[in-house]
Amino acid sequence: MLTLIKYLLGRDLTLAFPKESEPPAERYRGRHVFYVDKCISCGTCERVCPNRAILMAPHPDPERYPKSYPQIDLAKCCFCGLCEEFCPTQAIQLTGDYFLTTFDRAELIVPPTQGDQSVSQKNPSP
Amino acid sequence: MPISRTDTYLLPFGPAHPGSGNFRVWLTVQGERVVRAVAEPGFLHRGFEKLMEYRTPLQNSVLSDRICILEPLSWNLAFALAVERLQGMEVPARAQYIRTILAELTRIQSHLIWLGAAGLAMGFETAFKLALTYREEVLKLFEEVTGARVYPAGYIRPGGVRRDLPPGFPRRCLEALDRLEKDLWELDSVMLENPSFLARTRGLAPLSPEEAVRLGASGPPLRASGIPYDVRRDDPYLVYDQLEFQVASRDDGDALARFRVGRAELRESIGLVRQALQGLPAGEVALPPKPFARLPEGEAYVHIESAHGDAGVYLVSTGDKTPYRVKLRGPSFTLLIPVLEHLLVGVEVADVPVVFWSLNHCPADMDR
Repeated sequence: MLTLIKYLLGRDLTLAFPKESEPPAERYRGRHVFYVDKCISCGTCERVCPNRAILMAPHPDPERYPKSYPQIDLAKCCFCGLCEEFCPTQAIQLTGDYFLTTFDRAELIVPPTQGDQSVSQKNPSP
Repeated sequence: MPISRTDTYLLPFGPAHPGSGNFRVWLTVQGERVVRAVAEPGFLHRGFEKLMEYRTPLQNSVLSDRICILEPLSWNLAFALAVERLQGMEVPARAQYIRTILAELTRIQSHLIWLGAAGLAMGFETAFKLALTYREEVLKLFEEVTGARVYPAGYIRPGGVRRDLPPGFPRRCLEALDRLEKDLWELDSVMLENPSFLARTRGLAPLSPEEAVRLGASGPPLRASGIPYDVRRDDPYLVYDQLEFQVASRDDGDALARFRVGRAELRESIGLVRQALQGLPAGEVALPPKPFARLPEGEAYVHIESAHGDAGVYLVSTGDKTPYRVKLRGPSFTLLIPVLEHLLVGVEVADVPVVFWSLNHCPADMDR
């Protein structure tokens, strides 16, 4: 009975999700951001990736960026963050963005363009 | 000769039964009694032993998360210890303490899920909700430390841990443990000390010490049968030899004894985390990782006391970057096949989920 009153008068234990949500932890491993200008095309991220989600691919603008850069397949990615950890120049960073659902598989293959544009705009940011 | 006997049926328990997990037992029932049980594993086979032959130890430690859903950090730990034994690495003291804290927090959340799921299988849905609420506290700590609630992505890895504990973690961890300890009476009152729970589990499916050893049981079911065997005490790893704890055991061997051992282990684990947090030394948390180094030639076997029992990793290396062969010993394999088949004989159909969940198993680490 006491317990019942306690929970009846207490605040709600759940959140109304799309409007309010708990922020992810600082170390949360979500969608990557890639900074193409920092990348030195060493390929460490490709070699260290456990799921072979990273492929060194040419940049869409070969005039400006003639080398190969990591193209990330988010469908294969397990978000372990090894690429972030072993990148010598912090060109790949994992963010707190966990809104990754999509209707089209092709959208999950992130081309090696400047990171900030690849972060999805359609979903609310956490 | 009778054409058919209508009192004997073949009844599948699982894999779509809400209480079974990805696992099936074929029950031959006569009326309400089970006369024969045949386990059918393999629904969750993902082939870790083969996958690990194609990955470097660092990548394998990420993969080892997925062996058991309920306790990814324990398998991280077992795999890291095996690689360290093979390479003869000395891990910094602070990393050892952090590993101990996380291993015990893993045991707490795994046991909570075990008790909660057992409650769900018996119709104590409140217990399930309560247990998952408590588990949430631990998952929040995990997210803070490892970057994800459930899968730590090889947080415990060969050479140490990936990152140091975040600032203020010991205080928040102690607060969470205090809240947990204060609230656990609720779980006791709705489930573990509830008269209808006692009536259903007392004397159900007893496992004698001789049978437990013969069938290869380990973990809480073995300790509930009167054999206080615990790898943490009998073959110490990490810093368990410097910490004080009791190995919970009971002599009855029935389903109730198994749940009570689990409940007692929750208490011991909370104490262990507190001690480890107190003794936490300063210093480095890892040796510098070498992602593309070759493994030395040789073999190593390491076993740890995971929440489910005696979990082992056997590594063979021929001097390549990847291991030549990996063998994983999942504690649930012996619990779910020989022990379950033995215990289910003579049990009523309605009690099958109770016996099944009293074993503290995880179909994921059985199928591997």
